[in-house]
Amino acid sequence: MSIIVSAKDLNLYYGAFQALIDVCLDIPEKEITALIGPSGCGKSTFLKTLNRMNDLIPGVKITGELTYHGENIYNGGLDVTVLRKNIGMVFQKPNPFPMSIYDNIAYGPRLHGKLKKAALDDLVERSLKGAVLWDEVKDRLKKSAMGLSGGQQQRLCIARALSVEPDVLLMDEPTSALDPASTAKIEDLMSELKKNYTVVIVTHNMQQAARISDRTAFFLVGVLVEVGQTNDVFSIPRDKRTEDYISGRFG
Amino acid sequence: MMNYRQAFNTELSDLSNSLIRMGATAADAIDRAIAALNTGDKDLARQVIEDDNQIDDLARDIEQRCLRLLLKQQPVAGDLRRISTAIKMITDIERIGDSAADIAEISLQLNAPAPPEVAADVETMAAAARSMVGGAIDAYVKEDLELARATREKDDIVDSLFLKIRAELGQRMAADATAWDEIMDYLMIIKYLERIGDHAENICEWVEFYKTGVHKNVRII
Repeated sequence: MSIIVSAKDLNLYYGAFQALIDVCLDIPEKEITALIGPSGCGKSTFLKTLNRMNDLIPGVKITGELTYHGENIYNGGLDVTVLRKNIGMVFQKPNPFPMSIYDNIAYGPRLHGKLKKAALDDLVERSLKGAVLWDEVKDRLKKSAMGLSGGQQQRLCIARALSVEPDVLLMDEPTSALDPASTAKIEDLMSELKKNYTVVIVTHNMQQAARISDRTAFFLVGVLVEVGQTNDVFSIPRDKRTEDYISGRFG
Repeated sequence: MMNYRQAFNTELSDLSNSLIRMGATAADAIDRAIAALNTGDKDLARQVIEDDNQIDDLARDIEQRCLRLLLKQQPVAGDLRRISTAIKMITDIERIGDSAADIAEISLQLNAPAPPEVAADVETMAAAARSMVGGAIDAYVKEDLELARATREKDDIVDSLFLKIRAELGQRMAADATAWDEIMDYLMIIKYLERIGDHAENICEWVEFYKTGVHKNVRII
């Protein structure tokens, strides 16, 4: 098991408020890591820290070490654009661009470099197949993405993230706005994705974390309370606070 | 910190109470079956056989409630281990009840009381098996790992009493072959008592699983 992203004594402050406290967490390659915890526990903050999405928030201060393939994500020579290409993100609400399905996928690759039409066509097809959406949209690639269902839109966003050929996919509650059938499709897709990508997912759905993730990390008030194999965390958690949270006794 | 899921907590403690009741009913059935055997009280024996239905009904009721809790509450961690332990335990308690009823059944057919030495040993064995059942249920109620382990070890006592009485019965058979019918009946009775010990041991093993996730030295969850 090789570690692709590693946090050591990571602290994050929003002004005077400390949102992450001495977090040490290794993310293994080609596994699904679920981040769980009650609202305000720091899990989404941690997720966003991985591709520097917190940079835009004024007053953010970060100390400690966060590395991607051994290179420092902060205070290092890593270019943010390159970082975000390698560490893509999918959000809670599907956010397709108001353009065609094809252009949604081609947008990133066009930004990152010039591709011939045939190569771009191929990339769009591969990305849509990777997100298990190709068969549903191949006959209407030029139609607006806004006409897709919520579940299809979310898979489109995953395809869009895949189009720039990342290593890591960050997912912030990617199914919380979806119906059970669309959720099941995304969950199946995630199991496929981990063959080629590392996935880090924030979820409030305990059953989802138990179903799909290999490892689970439980955060509480900015502290990483427990991390371990998902099966262990959900059957015999080490910490009483983890047990109380996952069994719905608080949160 | 507020504690959520009060309704679930109540259902879990109701479940435990039902298990305690079922365990106590089965333990009581052993006492009464042995009393019927010792006194030749046929009415009592018939009552033990009839009352076994209550234990079966309790098992079915607990089983249904466990399945509904799994369905509706989707338990994890300690809750999941607790409910799955209950599902496994009721099978053993139910069989303890069956064994007590089987002993009562045999006692209905016995025409003469047992020779005093045999009767005394059977009573000792019944007391040992009975105390294992009590210990096993107690270990579950108190979530007491040590008690579960200590109770489990008592099965050696029950097993050695079984061998001792079996040898004794063998000698009696060798000395007087005409008594074979009665001796066979007593052999069956001690076999049922020995099985009761085994079921109590099983319950203890499930209590250990409940506390540790490990069943017979294997992590099964």
